[in-house]
Amino acid sequence: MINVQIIKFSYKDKSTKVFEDLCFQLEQNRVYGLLGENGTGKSTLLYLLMGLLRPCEGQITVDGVNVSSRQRETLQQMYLVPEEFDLPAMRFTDYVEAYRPFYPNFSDEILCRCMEEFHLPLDAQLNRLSMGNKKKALMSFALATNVRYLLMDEPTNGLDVPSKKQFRKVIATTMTEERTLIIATHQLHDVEPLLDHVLILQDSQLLLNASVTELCEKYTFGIRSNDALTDEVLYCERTPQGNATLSLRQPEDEETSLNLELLFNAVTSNQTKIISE
Amino acid sequence: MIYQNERAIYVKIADRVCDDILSGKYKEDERVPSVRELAAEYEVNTNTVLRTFDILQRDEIIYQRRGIGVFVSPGARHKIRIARRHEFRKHELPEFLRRLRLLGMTIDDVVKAWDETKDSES
Amino acid sequence: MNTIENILQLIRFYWRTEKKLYLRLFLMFFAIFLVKIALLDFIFMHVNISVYNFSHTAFHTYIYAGSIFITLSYLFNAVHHKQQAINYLSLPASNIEKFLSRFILGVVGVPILINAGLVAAASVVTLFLGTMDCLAGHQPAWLRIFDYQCVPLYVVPFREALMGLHPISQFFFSFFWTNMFILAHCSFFIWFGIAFRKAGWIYAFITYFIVIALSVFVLEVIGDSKQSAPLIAGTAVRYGAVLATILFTCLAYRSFCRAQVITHKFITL
Repeated sequence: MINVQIIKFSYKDKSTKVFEDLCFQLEQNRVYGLLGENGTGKSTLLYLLMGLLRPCEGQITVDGVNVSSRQRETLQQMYLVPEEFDLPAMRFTDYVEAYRPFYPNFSDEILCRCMEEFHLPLDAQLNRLSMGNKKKALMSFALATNVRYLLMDEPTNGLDVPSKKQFRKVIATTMTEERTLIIATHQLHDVEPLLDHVLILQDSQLLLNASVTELCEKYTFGIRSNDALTDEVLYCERTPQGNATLSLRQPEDEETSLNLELLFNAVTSNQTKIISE
Repeated sequence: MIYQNERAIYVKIADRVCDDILSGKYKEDERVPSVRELAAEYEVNTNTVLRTFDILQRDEIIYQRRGIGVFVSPGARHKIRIARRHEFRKHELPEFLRRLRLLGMTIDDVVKAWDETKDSES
Repeated sequence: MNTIENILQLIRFYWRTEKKLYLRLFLMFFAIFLVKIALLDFIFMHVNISVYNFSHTAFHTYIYAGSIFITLSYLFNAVHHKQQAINYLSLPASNIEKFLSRFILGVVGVPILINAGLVAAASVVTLFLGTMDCLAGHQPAWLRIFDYQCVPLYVVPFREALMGLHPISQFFFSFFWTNMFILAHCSFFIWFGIAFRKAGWIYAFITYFIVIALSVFVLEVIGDSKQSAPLIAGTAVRYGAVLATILFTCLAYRSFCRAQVITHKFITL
């Protein structure tokens, strides 16, 4: 479990990005969606979780250990796939040979399966891959490390449509009960069906922290005609199909599927109060 | 008042599994794909598929054999048909009849269409 | 011990991922020394021998030492670039293991690369210009680098012991202190390199020259008043070297532990 208690964090030169009293926990066997527009501090939060940044006040512990101490045993169970990265000029197999000794639970099987799903050769020359393929290669490695805490920063950025499908498949196949997967993204549609838990970040504030089950129990998402906009409708958007609504779920209503984009717009528009746990 | 609510994903996947059982893709007492396989096929969270299996087990469409896998219950096809007929009578049929009346049509139009399609099927 | 295995694991990692960088460094040193020996020395030797005699050793020392120290100041450069910092700092190894492995790699590896570049350059010069040198009555480049062109400090004790100038105990004594002196300089430059985000070696040199100037001034003052000035100077340098090594190594380790993936900070203390 990752226990986050950031009493205060700020970049000293950019006074806009400040986290204050940001406290939450991340559990095993969950896929967390850390959602927010660009520049809202998603990457910063991921760096804080990895111990790459230190809170000015407060601490982040992973399985009870303060992540800023950068201990080997802690880092062996964590991996971050950054949004932008450069891969060295070597073959993928050489890259794996160099990095795998650091991850004791590394699995060749998962690596091969992922690379196969992504249609990438194992001995690909890394510096000659397109950005999307580099991402897929690094993601394969990340999943193969079999770490307990896997963080991804905008994993679908730069991926074409078939690649996004491959990404979802690969995540669905490799998720385990011991893993906590945190996906920070603004591409809601790419990750919507994968999520267990939603964290919405805006202006360095955590506006929502709730599980998908909870959200579907409390709220319904649907399309309504103009005369059906009754009191239980908390948020409404006009679409070509009609009014897309987020409403309080009534006892007789069946559960609907989650409309992540609508939820996100509702929470960030300040028009509704959605209570987070 | 028009509501178009999309059913929860796990319900939709349950429907797909039932479709496959009805079409004969999964025969009775045969193995159904595992949670992980279904999650990969539909690109969803494994917990979602777990909920699917929960409701299918509750409705006795599937049964679990520990350590071996999940299987189609005997009589599942029949149970699915009964359940779907019930759904149809509850939701789609009243809506259909309402629209008939709204459009000023009668049950005779329905019988006529029925006879036409029956001929083309046989 | 587990840590030693881990440090070796890290060194193996550096080799696997930075091989090409080391090759480039070697070629750079090779080019620098080639220019020095083949161009400058050669021209001066054959054109104006007095200039050559006057400057070649000092020049060589500056190039040699400067190359080692500037390169070492970039030892932990990964920490100053966001993507490399993410990669290195999240690598599963403890801070001390990463620091020691990198430190050893630098302090042992960089002199190896520099000496290799020097020997390679001298060999090339000997190969192509050796005959010209011999005909003009000079030693070929190969021998020159050991005699005139600033014998690397740690070779001095070896050579003197081999020449029978000192007993074996003296050899170990001078070998130890020479290396301590070099190590002090290394850790000095390493700390400046890791503490300052950009070109720490510039601040290092500035500080270094200020310290040298002050020490010379202090020594002159003492020298005027005491007969034993050389002895005091020697002791001061020796223990100063030990203190400096410990101080700057610890400071460098602290800066490394406190390093974050931030690109705007001027100094990490």
